[in-house]
Amino acid sequence: MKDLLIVIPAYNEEKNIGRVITELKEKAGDFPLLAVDDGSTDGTGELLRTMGVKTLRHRVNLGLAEAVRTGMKYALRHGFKYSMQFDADGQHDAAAVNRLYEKAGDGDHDIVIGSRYAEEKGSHSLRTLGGNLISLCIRLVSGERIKDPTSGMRLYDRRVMECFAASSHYSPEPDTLSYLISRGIKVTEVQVSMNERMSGRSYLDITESLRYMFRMCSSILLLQWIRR
Amino acid sequence: MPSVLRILLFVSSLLSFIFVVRRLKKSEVQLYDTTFWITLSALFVLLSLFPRIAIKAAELIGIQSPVNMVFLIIIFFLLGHCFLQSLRFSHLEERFKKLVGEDALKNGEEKQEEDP
Repeated sequence: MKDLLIVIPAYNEEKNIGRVITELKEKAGDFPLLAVDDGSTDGTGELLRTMGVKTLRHRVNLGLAEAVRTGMKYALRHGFKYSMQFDADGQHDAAAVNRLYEKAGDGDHDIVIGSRYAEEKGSHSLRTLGGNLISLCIRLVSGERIKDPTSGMRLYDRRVMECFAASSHYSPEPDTLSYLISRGIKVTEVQVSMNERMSGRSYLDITESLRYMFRMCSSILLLQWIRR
Repeated sequence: MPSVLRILLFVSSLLSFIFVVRRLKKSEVQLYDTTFWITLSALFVLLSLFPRIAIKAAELIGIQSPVNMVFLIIIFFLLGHCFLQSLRFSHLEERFKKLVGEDALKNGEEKQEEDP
């Protein structure tokens, strides 16, 4: 058995998740999958069951961070060395899973980010501007240069998973990343490509994005010193 | 203080006191949560009956207007209460999330035992 568990947090993703699972089975078939159904009210749970994917179900919707945390707890309790967050909306490229896994294996890395801008330059859009701003904040605080801090495709090792399992202060967001770096966690990036969402609306529209940006930057710059 | 205002203050503080006590009796709130509100509303009743207390206390501390002192104290207590509520809310949320997560994990284990 491989020692990487692919965690797929899913909330009302019946339109996308079928294809995501199929692609993962085709292109990253060596790795076991775990879906965390975060209290979906559509056919997501049913679809996962018919596809035979191991699924944990939150009875109520708790949000992405908690779905990822539940997945990590499962990985820890079943002896996995790594877990990877893989979004159910079809953004992430299943073919890149193995590259992140290999990167984690060679060398001293605790977190491997599937990065849109590790080697390639991003276009000048509002989204990349936001990402750059968060990057800048992380650099100011930790000295480390993370080119794609908002990418949700991340691989975590046990050391990091144990932090997540122990405290809800940790979330799969850039501010936690920044905090972990300043605590000596080693982060590296691997170039991946990402698709636009296959279907449905991204949870980040303009005002939502701005609010997110503001929350992340202020959290990175101002709140991290309070953390244990 | 004009007597109409005093009567108004007395009546409204008495009403709010009764309101709090009745809610407590219907046990819509936990006993310990109501101590704060009962004390506060009882204090209002007391102050509306004997405004001299506030005036004397203000003189003693050295605040010119008794009203300012009353406001100051009430705001202080409300902020404190608000902060404690926020703490409790956070704890509750944390425990709730943990519970739902553990429930999902436990159900997952049970399912695994059913179908090997």
